[in-house]
Amino acid sequence: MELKKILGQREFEVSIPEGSTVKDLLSWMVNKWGDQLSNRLCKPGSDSIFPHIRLMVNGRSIEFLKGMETVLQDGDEFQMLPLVAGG
Amino acid sequence: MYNGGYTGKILRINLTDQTAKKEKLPLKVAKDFIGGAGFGVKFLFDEVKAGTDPLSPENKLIFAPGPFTGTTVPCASRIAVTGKSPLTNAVGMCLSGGHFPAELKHAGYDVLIVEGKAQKPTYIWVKDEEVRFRDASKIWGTQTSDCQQIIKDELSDQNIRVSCIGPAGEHLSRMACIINERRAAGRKGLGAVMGSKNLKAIAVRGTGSVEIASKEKFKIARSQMLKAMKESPVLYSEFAKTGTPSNVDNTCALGIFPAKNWSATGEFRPVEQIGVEALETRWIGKEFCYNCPVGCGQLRLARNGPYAGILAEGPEFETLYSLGGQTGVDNMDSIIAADRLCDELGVDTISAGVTVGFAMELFEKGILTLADTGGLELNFGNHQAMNTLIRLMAFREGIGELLSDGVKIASTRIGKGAEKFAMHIKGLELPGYDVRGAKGHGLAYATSYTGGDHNRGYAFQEIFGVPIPYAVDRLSIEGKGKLTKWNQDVRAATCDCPTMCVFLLDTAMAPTATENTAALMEAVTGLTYTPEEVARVGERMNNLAKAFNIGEGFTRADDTFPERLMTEPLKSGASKGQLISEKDLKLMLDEYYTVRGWDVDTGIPSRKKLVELGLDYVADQLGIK
Repeated sequence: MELKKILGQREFEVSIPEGSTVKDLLSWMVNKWGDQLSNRLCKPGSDSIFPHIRLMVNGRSIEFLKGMETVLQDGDEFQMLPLVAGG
Repeated sequence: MYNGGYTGKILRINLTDQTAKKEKLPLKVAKDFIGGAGFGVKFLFDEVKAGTDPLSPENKLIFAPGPFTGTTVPCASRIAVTGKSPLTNAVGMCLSGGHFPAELKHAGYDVLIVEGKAQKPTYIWVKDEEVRFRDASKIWGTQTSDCQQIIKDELSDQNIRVSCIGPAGEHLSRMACIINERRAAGRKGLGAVMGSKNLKAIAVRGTGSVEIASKEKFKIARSQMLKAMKESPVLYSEFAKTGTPSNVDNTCALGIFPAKNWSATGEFRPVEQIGVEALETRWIGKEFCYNCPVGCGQLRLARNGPYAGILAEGPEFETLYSLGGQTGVDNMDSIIAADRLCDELGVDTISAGVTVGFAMELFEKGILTLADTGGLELNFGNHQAMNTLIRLMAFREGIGELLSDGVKIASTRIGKGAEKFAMHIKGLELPGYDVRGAKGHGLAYATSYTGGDHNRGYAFQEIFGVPIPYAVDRLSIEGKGKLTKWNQDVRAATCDCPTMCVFLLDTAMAPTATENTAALMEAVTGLTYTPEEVARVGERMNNLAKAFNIGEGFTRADDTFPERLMTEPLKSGASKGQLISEKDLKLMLDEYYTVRGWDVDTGIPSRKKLVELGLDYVADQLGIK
């Protein structure tokens, strides 16, 4: 919810240079949405993502891919999911 | 000896001869099983013979809060209700929250066992030491909120708390639940067990309090728990505001929000229509269980169309799945109305919704026709038909008679290949996670002692990415046996037995769950445990529950999935292409039985394992050498 409010939309498409990684994409996003976004993703002054934010590429957590160095391909779906609780 | 937490009393009520006896809670039972589900499973195994008809007077209903219930330990006002399930013929155990659990403790009881059958509709009135059997003829047939209010008025005390059934339980629907306030001991058809005993309600008023063994230790243990809750990044900041429905958004993103009887998962993703934002516009307030600082219960008001003005506590995530995704209904107001209807009629929202979705698929495939449905157009998405069908099932009228006992029984009666579309495990309709995209969560469904149940071994590592005890890949099958044992035993030991809210485990307490339970047990009851011994309580309870099911004839073959999950890959979304093949299931089960110390071929616990858990008598009773 909060992330959606910051980004202004639930889903969007972006064009990034070939060979870009998850880290590159996050840098691009932080550059675009500034502190408001970076403060939701990591502690001020740190670049490690909060453990309660899950980053996924095509439905798979990046820790089971190549982490922040995971290279994004054309058509990939990147997701940022905050931790919630079940029912 | 315990010197706090427990009142030390079991109240045994026999409806046949209208007697109420008070027995002492044995120290060994308290130490070995803690309370709640542990007590329920223990008394069920010991007192209900194998082969008992769940709807006969010989079945029992065991109401057991936990040792912290009624104290100021946060989020502990919960009660386990256990009996043999008429839906599964296995252990039926589910938990409810609210204020009834604390009231029962304040009245002085750790356990209330109901046995026998009353000759006419009856309700039980417990006021501290006093127990009365009262005529329920006038309230037989009432909806659950009316029933509760009439009893309070009749007894002239608005502070009474009532646990009761609605018309579904009276009509012995095997999907019937037990309601207290607006909370449900929802699953496994225990409302029908209550109905079969002619028991409409249990009304309780307690004026006592629960002793604390060490006030000094209690202060420390409680503040440590509150600190962990405060430090959670989501408990107060997100969960307290939205409750469970945010999981609609989450599971849709993961491609595992089941849709249209599990035929369109990943394809039908109604996030905008029934996700958190849609609910925000209908929010009017919160409800708190006794001594809960979180208040995940959200009151919501239907705003539009013929449903405008209907209020429900909820809908919870599971209800948004069952009455939304599963039925293809994306009309939020109709789901609020159907949720309220289920609560009033006393029917489990998950089983009801899954059964409606099942009937809709059969209708669309021509297996059920307009002649069968009495003219009801049961297409996916038809919310009017959904609300009508829920009522018909609760009263066993028309097509409702065929569907009132859930999808397993209905599919057998319908035939024509309907079994293939019946989404259940061991007879229990599946909850809201398409486990083709969460394999460990799936293994928990397949091996749960209660059947297809999300709450007995919830894989929050897969669903939320919580890396406790370690991070796992939701799409992999490796290591899921070990993970499932951990999830089942830790959840049983730290939530189901002490009757602590499971949402705390997911959002705040996972890293310190067994330590927290051990510290609270020592402070509240005086009984000491290591964190490992706490987990061992969960393992003991899960083995005993398994033993009960073995006595009922369950085998390895029952630890399985509906055919669809093993043969039809998900067609779209973030879990596209995923399924759990028969081979995958076999590999996961082999690992699971091995880490459990159970025979890999049969799934029966070894004598060595049972003896290790102090369950020698169980091995003897089942003839395990």
